[in-house]
Amino acid sequence: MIRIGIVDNDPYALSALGDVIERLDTEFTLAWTATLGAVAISRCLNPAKRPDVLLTDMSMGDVPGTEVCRAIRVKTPAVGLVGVTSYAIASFRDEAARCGAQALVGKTDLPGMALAIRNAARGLPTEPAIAGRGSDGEEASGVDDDHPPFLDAASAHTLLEDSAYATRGALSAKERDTLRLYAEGLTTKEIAEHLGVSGATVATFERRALAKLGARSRAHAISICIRRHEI
Amino acid sequence: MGRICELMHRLGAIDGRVRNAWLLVATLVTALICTIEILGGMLSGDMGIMDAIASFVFVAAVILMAFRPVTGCVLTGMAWVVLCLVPVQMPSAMLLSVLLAVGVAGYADGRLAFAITVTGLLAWLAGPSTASGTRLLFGTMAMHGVAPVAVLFLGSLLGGLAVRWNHERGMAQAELEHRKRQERAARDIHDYVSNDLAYLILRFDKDIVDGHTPSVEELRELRSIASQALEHTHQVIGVIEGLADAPELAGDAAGARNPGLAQARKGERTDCPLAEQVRGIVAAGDHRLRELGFDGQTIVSGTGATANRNVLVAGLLEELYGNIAKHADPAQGYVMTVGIGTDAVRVTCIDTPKPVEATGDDSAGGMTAGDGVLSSGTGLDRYRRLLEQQNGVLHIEMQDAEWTLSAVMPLTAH
Repeated sequence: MIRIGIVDNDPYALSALGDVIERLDTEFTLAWTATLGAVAISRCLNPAKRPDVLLTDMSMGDVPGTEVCRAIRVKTPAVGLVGVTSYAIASFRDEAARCGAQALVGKTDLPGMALAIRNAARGLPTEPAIAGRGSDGEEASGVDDDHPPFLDAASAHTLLEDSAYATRGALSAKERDTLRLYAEGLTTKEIAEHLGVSGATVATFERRALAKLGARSRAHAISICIRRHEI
Repeated sequence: MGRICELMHRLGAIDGRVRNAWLLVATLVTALICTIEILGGMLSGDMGIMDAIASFVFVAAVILMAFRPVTGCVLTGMAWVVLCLVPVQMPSAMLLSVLLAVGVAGYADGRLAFAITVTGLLAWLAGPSTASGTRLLFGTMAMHGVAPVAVLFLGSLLGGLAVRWNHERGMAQAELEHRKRQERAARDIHDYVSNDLAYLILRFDKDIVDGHTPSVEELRELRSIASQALEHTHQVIGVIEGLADAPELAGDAAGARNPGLAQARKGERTDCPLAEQVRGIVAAGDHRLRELGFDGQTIVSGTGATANRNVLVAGLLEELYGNIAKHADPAQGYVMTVGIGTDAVRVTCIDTPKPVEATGDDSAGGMTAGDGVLSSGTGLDRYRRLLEQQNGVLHIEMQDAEWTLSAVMPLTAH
């Protein structure tokens, strides 16, 4: 069974989603509903009340759905996060991906919602179909900062947790480890296995490290780190 | 006899309330004018000795009005009635004196003023001096018939009543201002001083329970908080004693308490003044709760709005952090959100209340001495009232061991 929590500040939309969700799949069961983002965050961080997947509206009055996703994902990878919206997907897609959500679907796209929930329950992402970009059900590997891919829950948690610990301007532990492992001659795939994250995440660590160091390339970044005795 | 004494007593008490520098000047000037007119009349031969004596008695009553206003106005009214009914020559300024008496009576007591007005007018109507139909005031102003005099009497009555109402309104406003200052001082004591002290107690209790010896850095932090609470107490006492204006205590909540944390949050954000204020309070509040063993978070959003600093928002946030520290279960954490919109600020808070201890345990100190030790229990009720006064809403719910608060505070342009 996939236990689903829903948060939406619109009580009518919440009621409608609650009615529909269990009919999408026999494995779906409604765990709880909430109208406040803070309540959803609290329950998702509580092992006793945590659902398998949280369905969160993207535009809520007390706190944006993206911030709900970020607040949960930075603490735990144990909940799948699926954003829902009545607006155009493109309005929230990029920010939702950055905040650790696994998917973003329209409120009326019930088949897409069911697919996203099933994937998110396993910690897997679902790329939404937006004209000109991406396709459903495929794990995108784009490294574009403006259009980051939806990541699996574990990778998203690692990225956000790492960002939370890093002080501005200094390399985080994961960024430093990535450059050190590159300096030792490992490939991206080997580094991903070593750190327990995906290749896209390793690429993100490398990109951030280069930006912080002001380096033009990987070799340049490693050279800077050696000079500074960072690795 | 007893009744007369009681009446004299009551008049004396009212005299004390009505005595006034302007009244003193007005009555003495009026008495002077009367005296001048009497002396003038005597010298010119228009006024006989008996007329003059009667008039001087009247003047004495008017002079008494300067020092015993109500007693004097009653005697002046009585003297007026007597002199109207007997065939004596009265100086024209006596009309001015009795009008002044009616005004004083109107200020002191409406019923007394009405009685003096009615008896004075009736005496005027019944008296032989009305027969001529025309009166000269100060030898210059001519009044024909009764109507002008009646109008003057009524005008004095209403004037006295109006001055009284104005005075009472001023007193009420001053009282209201005083109460607002008191309430503000009480709120500041509750919000800042008591929360600071409660936090100190909880920190000490935690260290006692954990067997932890605080480091020098921690002791410095706790000293800073105690010092801040003392300073706030001095400021509030200053306000109560009227020696200082109410300080903007909410404004320095973050900077003074945890300057390092406040600095850490500054940077590339372009926060509105309210967001900057909120972030400072949030940084300090989250830090304090972390020190008490809480694993929670506060999310601030909508910071691009243009809202100005807001004492009510700041106070509510401080109150919530204080409540979490005092009443929530650290093991269950907390989540708070602050959404700053263009028209309102929305605050939500969720935590799990501490299980209530059955008995007090000395080894754990004040933590199990009951929430009454750390809390007066009035904070959120007060904020609910304040919010409702500004068309805001504060709603608290307790369900399935979850304590949830949601508040909407309208932002008004000042």
